[in-house]
Amino acid sequence: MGDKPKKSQKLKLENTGGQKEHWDDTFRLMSWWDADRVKDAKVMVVGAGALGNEVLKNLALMNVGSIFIVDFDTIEYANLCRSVLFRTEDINKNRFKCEIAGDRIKDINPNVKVQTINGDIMIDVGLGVMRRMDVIIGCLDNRIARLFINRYAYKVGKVWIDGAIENLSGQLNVYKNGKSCYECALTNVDWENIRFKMGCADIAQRNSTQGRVPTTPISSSIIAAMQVQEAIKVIHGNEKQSMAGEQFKYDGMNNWIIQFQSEPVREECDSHYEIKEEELTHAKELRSDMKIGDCLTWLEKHFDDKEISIQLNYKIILEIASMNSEISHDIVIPEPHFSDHMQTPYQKEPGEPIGITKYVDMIDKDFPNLEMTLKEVGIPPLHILTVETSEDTYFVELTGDESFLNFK
Amino acid sequence: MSNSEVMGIVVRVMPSGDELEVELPIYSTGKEIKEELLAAEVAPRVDPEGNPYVYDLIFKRKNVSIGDSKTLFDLQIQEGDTLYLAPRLVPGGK
Repeated sequence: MGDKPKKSQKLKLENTGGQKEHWDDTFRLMSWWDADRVKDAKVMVVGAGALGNEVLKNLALMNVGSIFIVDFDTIEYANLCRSVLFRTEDINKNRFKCEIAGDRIKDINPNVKVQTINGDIMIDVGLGVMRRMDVIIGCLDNRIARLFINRYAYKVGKVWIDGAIENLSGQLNVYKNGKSCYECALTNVDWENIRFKMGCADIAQRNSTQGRVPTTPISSSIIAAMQVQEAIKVIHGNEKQSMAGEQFKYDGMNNWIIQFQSEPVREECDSHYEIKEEELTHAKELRSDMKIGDCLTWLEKHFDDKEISIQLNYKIILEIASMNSEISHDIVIPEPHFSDHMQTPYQKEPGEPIGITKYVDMIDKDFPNLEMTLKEVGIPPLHILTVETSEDTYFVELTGDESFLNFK
Repeated sequence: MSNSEVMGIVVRVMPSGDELEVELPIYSTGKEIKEELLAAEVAPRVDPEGNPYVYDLIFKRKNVSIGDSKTLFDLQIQEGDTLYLAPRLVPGGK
């Protein structure tokens, strides 16, 4: 793995050895270990539950330089038995799992820099953020989030490493463009479940688990360790020994381990589009906190085209109606953010169903409120916009948000 | 070989640990085998929260999953071979 250390690197080690110890001195004894690559690496971890805790702990211990954590949840008592980073005093604090996990891994290794997003991978993380990562690790509870990570990771050409656990069992999949694809392997049964869950407007419902599926810190520590092991290979550029294109299943109760080839990638799949570097416009003038109207004007000028639209992979709700009292309301809310809590003010009676009566899945000059910012309609910082003109489709990054990526 | 020929294979079920000796037609597909095994209730169709389980049928000797449309014959599975029926797990431990 990796190249042999050059003489100059060895000298550097000897010069610092007597006066200052490195966190990873013992790892440097491994011939393949590239301390600089690991220190410079940026890794996104999606999900800070049982698997996420173990993954984060291992990344910190391995001295991975920058870690981006995404999770939308808060800590409950039931989480503590399998979450090495959480403590009893964390319960009912007005802080999110991602924030506390971030603090704790910095306690473990102060060299590690962290950035967190309390949000949903489906809508709250810009593609440009993912594009700047070396590898993405999924520690998720549901098929929808996996599907979206798969599509996003494919678009920006990143390997993503998926783990799952149940009881004393676990599994690992390493997805890499051209070798394996989560969406390609989905069955009709998976799609039925995804469509059903996508019908839930609320983020918590979409991602819900009722805590009835048993998971253990044993399986999470085993699978998370393997996820990080694979991530370290990706960071080192080690494709030869990567598990990409293979699946791993572990059954601790029966001591069974199976590694087998992933299903072949299909020719036709919605995930399969990788944005090439030459296709990407780095728009330093565009940011997520700018007004929609200003963004559209810039795009019109840039592409010299009056027929500009920004395509979305979610709906922006423009009108809702309380179904029993049949009262309609004009609103502008991205559907993935339209939580149960947000519906309450529109219910004439408690629990009254609210229906979406008008929505758009793209933004153009006819959008009802051009004064709103891109962020207010669900476009996150550093996102890559899919822009349609009268002639073609283009990809435009909100590169003006570059300072958003700020590991601390 | 004729369509009616059968062979005995071993199916190991994850995570129950059950080991079953089953007679299967050599031209039965992965989908048919899984459906028969689930119909015989050797493994649950849904998890404790009611979400569906999707299963892989894995031929360990060749480290491949028997796709829904592939047959035992296609993969040159032989008398006495072992297959694993394993769920595709979803939880990450909230």
